[in-house]
Order: sequence, then structure tokens, then C-alpha cells
Amino acid sequence: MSEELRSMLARGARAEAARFDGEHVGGETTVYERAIAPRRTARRLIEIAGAFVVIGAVGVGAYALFPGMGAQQPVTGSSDGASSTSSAPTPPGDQRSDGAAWTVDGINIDARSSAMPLSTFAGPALSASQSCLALAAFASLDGLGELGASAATHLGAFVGENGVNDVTTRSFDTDASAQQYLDAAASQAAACSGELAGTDASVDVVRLGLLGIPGTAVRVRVTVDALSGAAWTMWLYADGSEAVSVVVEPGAADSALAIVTSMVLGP
Amino acid sequence: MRAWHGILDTLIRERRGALVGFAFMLTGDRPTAEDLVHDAIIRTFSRARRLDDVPSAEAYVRRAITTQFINGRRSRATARAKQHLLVPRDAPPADAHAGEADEVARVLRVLTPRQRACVVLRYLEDLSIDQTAERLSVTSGAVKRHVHDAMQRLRGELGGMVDDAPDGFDGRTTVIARRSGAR
Repeated sequence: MSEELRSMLARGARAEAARFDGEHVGGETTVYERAIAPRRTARRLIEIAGAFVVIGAVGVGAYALFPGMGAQQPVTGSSDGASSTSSAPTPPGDQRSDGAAWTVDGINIDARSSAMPLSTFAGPALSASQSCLALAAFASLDGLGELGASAATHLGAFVGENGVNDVTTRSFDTDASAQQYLDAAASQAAACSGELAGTDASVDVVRLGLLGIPGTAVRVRVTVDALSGAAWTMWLYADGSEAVSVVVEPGAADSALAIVTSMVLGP
Repeated sequence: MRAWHGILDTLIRERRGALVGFAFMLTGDRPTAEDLVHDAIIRTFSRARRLDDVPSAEAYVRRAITTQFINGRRSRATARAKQHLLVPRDAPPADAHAGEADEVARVLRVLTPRQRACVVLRYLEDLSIDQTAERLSVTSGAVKRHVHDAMQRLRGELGGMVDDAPDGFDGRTTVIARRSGAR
């Protein structure tokens, strides 16, 4: 009976495998990669990082730290914000691809939502500065493809009562490429800050790092009217060759750290 | 491209069908089987473990499939929510293979999930009693009992096909209690 049972099970499994293979002749690896890559990134980050530690403030003096990078701009066809980030094939529905709700601070990610573009928040104030306008591309991890990288993947946004936190990931070919991208973003933000001198708008750039590891982050905060206190915030974070962007809309609670932590700990 | 990308690509192209076949024998339900495989692949590759080759990756995935099946971590509703990533479920099975697989699944449906898991691991995966017990986090005695009970049920389902004791079980039955209407 044992052999007959073995034979029956093998026959059934083979038949089902043949049926499935017959229906799935196209490559679907990309769908899996889009689900897996950000999770691997997040897990690695949390394995080695206990906390974000500020290791240096760049502020408007970022030029001094990143000499020669001020003119570098991301090359992108989309110039306006994280909502246009993803150029990878996008399955319908949940863009996290595993279908399970991803919750941070009690809010589920909404794959169809995205943050307010920087230009919508501060367009008129920034319009005179190409450096400032280019920040939108960094927020969506776009451009600088010559560094060697995959297309950015827009995961969606956590929609809170007063605004959203928008999440995008991108894999670079090398650790150095990811760091160069963050350096370029910091340099661009510093250039933007310089070009806004004498206006009501301001840009604050802070470089962050992970304690004891090579991972780093750059936070860029743009305010148009200091009195209002409203700010558009972009976090760019990289460890190794993987990068994550979190864009916090004006008025929204900044959940960037919680989001990264959640990515690592999993659902 | 990092190593895991290549291993994932090969696994998806060459082994996913076999994994679905394995999962289908466990679940007896096509959408659930495909979702189990989908989830198991993502879980396996999402962890930062080293995946040196396709066979070891496949072994991890099979283990994850079994664990998820036993733990019932995915409700049917949740699983179906992911079907857009696979194939339209409204479509009937595309070929004659489906009929044969469905027939086996129908037979296995008389078993409880744990009985089915034990049978599939023992007789499809060729795991030993101890290996099956380790995989399911139960005792070897429990595996023997589940296999024995499964054989009893399958005997009723398949008639003469199942007519001897499963290996790993000595064939002796100790009657602990038996209800009988007649004295």
C-alpha cells in the first residue's frame, strides 16, 4: 500500500505541477523581487542597527562636506514628487505584493496613495531654484541611473489624519552607488538652501548615521513660511546597496523611523 | 545582480510548479496551495540568510509551506486577497492534468490537515518518521498515529488499494476503548 500511496501522491503532484507550469509560462520573478528586496533591506538594517544616531549635522553647510557634488542632479523624466516614483511593473492592488496589510502606528499602507509633491507645497517659492526642484526626484529615488541601480519601487503611503508618509525603495548595484546617491541628495539640498537665501523659504539638511555601521541617512526639511511651521520632509536612508525613501507631508506625523523599524520586524 | 536574484529566478522558472504540486497535495485546494507557495517564497528570500543554491532554497521553501499549512497562518480570505498576483481564479483548470490532480486531492480530503501533512511528508517527500516529526514539531509517536489513522481512512476511501500497515507503524493496534452497541 505504501508504494501505491507514494505513486498516487507523486502522480497527483506531478499533474498539478504540469497544470501550473502550463498556466504560468511567463517570468514572474519581478513580482517576487519587488516584494522581497525591501524586506531584505529592512531586515538587514534592523539586524545591525539599534537606533538612529545623529552623527553630524550638515545644515546649510553641506557644501563643505560634499565638495564638487553641488552640480550633480538626478536625471529623470518625472520631476514632481513621490507619487510618480515607480517605473517598475505594478501589479494591481497591494503593491507590497504579499497582500498582507502592512501597518505602522495603527495605519495600513495604501498602495494607491502618495505624498504631496514638493512643488505643490512650495512650488512658487522654489521655482527659481533648479536645485530645489530637483529634490522631488530624490524623494522618489529617481534618477542618477548611471550609478547603477534598479528602478525605484513605490510601496505606497501611510495615510494619517493630517497627511501621509510615502515609502519608496531602490536597489543599487553597489554600496558605494547607494552612498553616492545620498551624497548627491544632500549636496543638492544644500545647493537649494543656498539658492533660497534671502527668501522666506528655507531648507534644513541633516546627515544621519547608524551607530557603528556604514548605513547613513539624509533628512531634508523644506519650509516655506517659518511662522507656519509646516514642513515637507524627505528621509533618504541607505545601508549597503539598498535605499529607502520616506516623504512626510506637511502636517503629517513623521513616522519615518517607525516605518523602517516595521519593515525590518515584518508584519 | 546579487546571488539571491539568480537563485530566485531559477526557482521561479524551474521549481515553482513542483512546489505548487507539493502544496496542492497538502491543501487539496488550488488557490490556497498557490498562495502558500507565494508566501513561502517571499518569506524564505526575505530573510537575510545565505541561499547558496536552488536545492537548498527549495528545501527552505518546502519547509515554510509545511509550517504555514500546519499553523494555518493564512486565512482563506487573506490568501484569496493575493490572487491577483497569480492567475485569474475564475478560469477552470486549463488542461487534463488538473483532473488527475483533483482526483488525488479528493481522496486526501478525507484526512485531517495533520494526517495529510504526515502522509505527504512521509510518502511524497520521503521523510522518515523522525524527520516528519521534526518538520511538524510533534513527537514521532504522534506521526505514527497520524499516519496510521490516515491509512485507516484511506482504506475506506480507496477500498483494496490500502491494505497493509504503513511503514513506521508495527501494525499492532492497541484498543484503548471501543464502543459497541452489542454485548
